[in-house]
Amino acid sequence: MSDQEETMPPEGVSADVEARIVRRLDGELDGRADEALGRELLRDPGAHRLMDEYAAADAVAGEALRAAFGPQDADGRRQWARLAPRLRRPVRSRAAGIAAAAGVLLTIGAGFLAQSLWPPAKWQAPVPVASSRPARAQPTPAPALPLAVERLVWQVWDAPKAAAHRPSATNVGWVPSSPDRPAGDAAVPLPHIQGPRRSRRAVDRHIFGAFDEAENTIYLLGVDRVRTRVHAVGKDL
Amino acid sequence: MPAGRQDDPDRALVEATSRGESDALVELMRRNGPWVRGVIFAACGDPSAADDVEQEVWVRAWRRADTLGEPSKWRSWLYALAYHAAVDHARRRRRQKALLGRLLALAPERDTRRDPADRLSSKEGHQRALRAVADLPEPYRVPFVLRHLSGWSYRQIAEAMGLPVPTVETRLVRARRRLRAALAPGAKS
Repeated sequence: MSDQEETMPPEGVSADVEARIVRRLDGELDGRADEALGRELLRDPGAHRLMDEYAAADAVAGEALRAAFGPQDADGRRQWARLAPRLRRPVRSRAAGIAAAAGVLLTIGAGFLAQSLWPPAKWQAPVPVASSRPARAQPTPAPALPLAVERLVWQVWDAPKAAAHRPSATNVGWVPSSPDRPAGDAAVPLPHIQGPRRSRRAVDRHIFGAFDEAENTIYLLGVDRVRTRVHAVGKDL
Repeated sequence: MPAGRQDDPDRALVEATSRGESDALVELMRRNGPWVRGVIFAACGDPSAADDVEQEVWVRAWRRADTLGEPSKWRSWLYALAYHAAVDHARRRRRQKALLGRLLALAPERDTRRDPADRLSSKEGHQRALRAVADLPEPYRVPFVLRHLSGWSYRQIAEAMGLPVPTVETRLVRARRRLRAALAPGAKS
């Protein structure tokens, strides 16, 4: 059907009569208008025929629609059984919403805090840590330590070592370890202890920290104080 | 179609459904299933879609029952749910059909005419009428189905579709013209 045919009433019937025919078929005409249309249909066979055709089309289409989509399950229970697993109402609790929002905010805040405290660039750079252990041969030179860290190294490492080297007045001595003299060496020269000797090791680990403001970096210094107690075996016996 | 509780027994069912009473939903489905299926068919023009999409509509109705602000407008609300579910379905089907069309273009051509025995089936009249309704443009099809399947008044249809009553009337007249032409004895099926 062309657009023009669609907008024009069928031949020989006015648009007004056609509209009233349709309203009558749809039960939308009141009593007086219905009687008036009935009289017009008696006088106009073309309009009467049109109403019959519309009524027939309505009957066929309505029957087809009811057959296809009319009531199927008498009690709806079968349909309910099919639907029931899908009928879960989403939780719309105010408290749950607030809790979820707070959780999201906390997560975001923690992320920002972590990023500001530990910037990724610092993680990628080697962390300078001084150690009392003997240095192994490195292919690349160790980075230069800032002044604050060098001072710390001196305080916790060099100064006690110098003090420990003082000879003891007795024939029992504490021998500190050092890079050029590993700890635990029972054959360390202790001239004041004569004859066979026995040694015992003790290790104290200390962690020191220094903050370099210029580099905004924390340096950790791990110091193992290994002491070897050496005494003459013959004296114990 | 302003109706109070006494005039509209389904309104109480809708309110009970929004409180989470499943029995009320079952009764609502039983009473309104036919026109919901009709709206689905009218909106997407696919008779086979009605059952599947109807389930989706009732699931949506159950989940969104608390979004119905004015209980007296439940019919428009349910109509909108059904209409949009059908439109979503039609969109998905179009995409699937386009994909299927591309695949079939690669396959050898075959005879797709209907089986002669099928033409003689007792349901031929219904099928032809249903096809004629399905071929109506959607603006005409929806009010026609609501009127003939559900018996809705012009005013109810206008309220559900958000249209003026004269527009509904005009669309129903034009739907009749097209159907008369499509169902005439000599018309091509």
